[in-house]
Amino acid sequence: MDQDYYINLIYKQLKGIISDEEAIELQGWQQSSAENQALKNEIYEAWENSEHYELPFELNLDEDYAQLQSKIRQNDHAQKVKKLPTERRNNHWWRIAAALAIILLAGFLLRNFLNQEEKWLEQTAEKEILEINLQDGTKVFLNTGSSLSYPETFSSKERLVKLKGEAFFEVVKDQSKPFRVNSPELEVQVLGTSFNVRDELQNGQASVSVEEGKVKVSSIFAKQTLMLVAQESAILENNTLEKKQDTNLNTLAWKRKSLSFSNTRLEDVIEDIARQYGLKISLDNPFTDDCPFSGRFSTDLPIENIFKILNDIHDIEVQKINEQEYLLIGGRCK
Amino acid sequence: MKQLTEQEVTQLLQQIEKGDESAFRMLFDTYYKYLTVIAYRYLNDGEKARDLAQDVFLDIWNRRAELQINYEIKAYLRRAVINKSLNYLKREKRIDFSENEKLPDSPIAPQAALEVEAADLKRIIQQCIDQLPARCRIIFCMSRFEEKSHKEIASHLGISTKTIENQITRALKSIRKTLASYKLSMILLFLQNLFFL
Repeated sequence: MDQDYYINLIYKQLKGIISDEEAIELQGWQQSSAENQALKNEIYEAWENSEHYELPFELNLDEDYAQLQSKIRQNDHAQKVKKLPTERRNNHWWRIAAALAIILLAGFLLRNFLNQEEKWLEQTAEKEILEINLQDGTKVFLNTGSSLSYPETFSSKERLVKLKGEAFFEVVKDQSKPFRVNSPELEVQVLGTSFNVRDELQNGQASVSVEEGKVKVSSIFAKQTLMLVAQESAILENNTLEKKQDTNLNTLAWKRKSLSFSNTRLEDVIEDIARQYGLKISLDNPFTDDCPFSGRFSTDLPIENIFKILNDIHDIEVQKINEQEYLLIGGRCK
Repeated sequence: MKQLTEQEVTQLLQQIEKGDESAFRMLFDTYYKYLTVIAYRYLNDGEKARDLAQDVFLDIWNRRAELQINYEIKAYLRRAVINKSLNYLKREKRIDFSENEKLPDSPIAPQAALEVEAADLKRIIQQCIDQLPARCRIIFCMSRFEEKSHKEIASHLGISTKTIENQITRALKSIRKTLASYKLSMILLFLQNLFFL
């Protein structure tokens, strides 16, 4: 075992998350030489001393509070401006100016890529799902908060695109040119089929679900490869790629704009809702018993309406913690 | 940071809800530094850290009428500033926590420590952590200062626990190296004084 392995064990001991077997192993290692013992002491020291990581300057509370006050004033002012109808015209001019600027910029960019050979484009779906048509006829539905980079013209050997987040692909068949999707942790390769790739930063889960055809999935770090067929998924968890039958109806909910449940445990229902709406929903009183739920929601509904339905059916009370977080309290199975 | 009792906090929040600015100022005075320090550990940028810590208070003031803080205020504020910091890093700095960085293993220049005469340890450590690659520094700080479990860090940053362990090991090695060279410089300094003065 190399040194890093033991440094990691020492760290685990410092954090108090070391297992009994690991503790014994560390003990043995540290007693086996004076050098090891010294290394352990030094790592302990490093950990202790890191406590000094502080602000490199003194704060002036009065000054900073004054800054905060001016932010508050600006904010109040901005809100007033929004409410005044007479100011609207002003706003209008801004929009025209912005539109002109965008047109000019687009023209400039267009001229730019006409002059270049392999030009990569990047699109990000901000608030709405984006449908992108690639040069070979492949369709990509890009989920919100995700971005896709792709060359304007594919190379002669392959069709490579790069994804951050989640997207559904309908790939046009081309035996001579495989279609490849690279995401931070996964690499997906196909000839022609439709499938969903999800590799998101926020919740650390990467997965591929196949709707049609055959797909090859590799994890970039774990160096593992799986073949998937329709209704199968590959999920990357703890750095291992695992194959699963697609039992969750809602993998493609974001694209279908609806969530469907059929005798699904309430806990899982809430998990799917949270994911779909990009919210954090915690349960104060988790439903330990299996409480089956069947139904279908349009995801165009505001989240409040969905909570209302849950409340009607299961007596669940909802507390809003902030814009992104909700707490569900109580509830029972009927 | 002076501590407020639970009762005092409740009272303070009630006053803020009514628009009492002196109560708001008191909340600011109590927690502003705490939040700035946390933000700084993530951002390594003092100005931005102050900015984001102020924004947490700005949000509180703007939403004072509908404010519902059902749990400990300190934890609430901490979470708010961490969320802001991480969002900022992901959006503005485009730090991709999941990608492998190809950076030298030890970015710290131990030489620098040698040159500093009797420099205080605190500053050396400060510099050392500041110079870690962003991803490494943030992961280390989350574990060291936020008392976060690996699972929490993993879900915050969307990375595997293996990556977390690797990055923390890397940070510890760097600090250890810096400490060693600091000690060496102290010995050299001592010897110098002994023989040449």
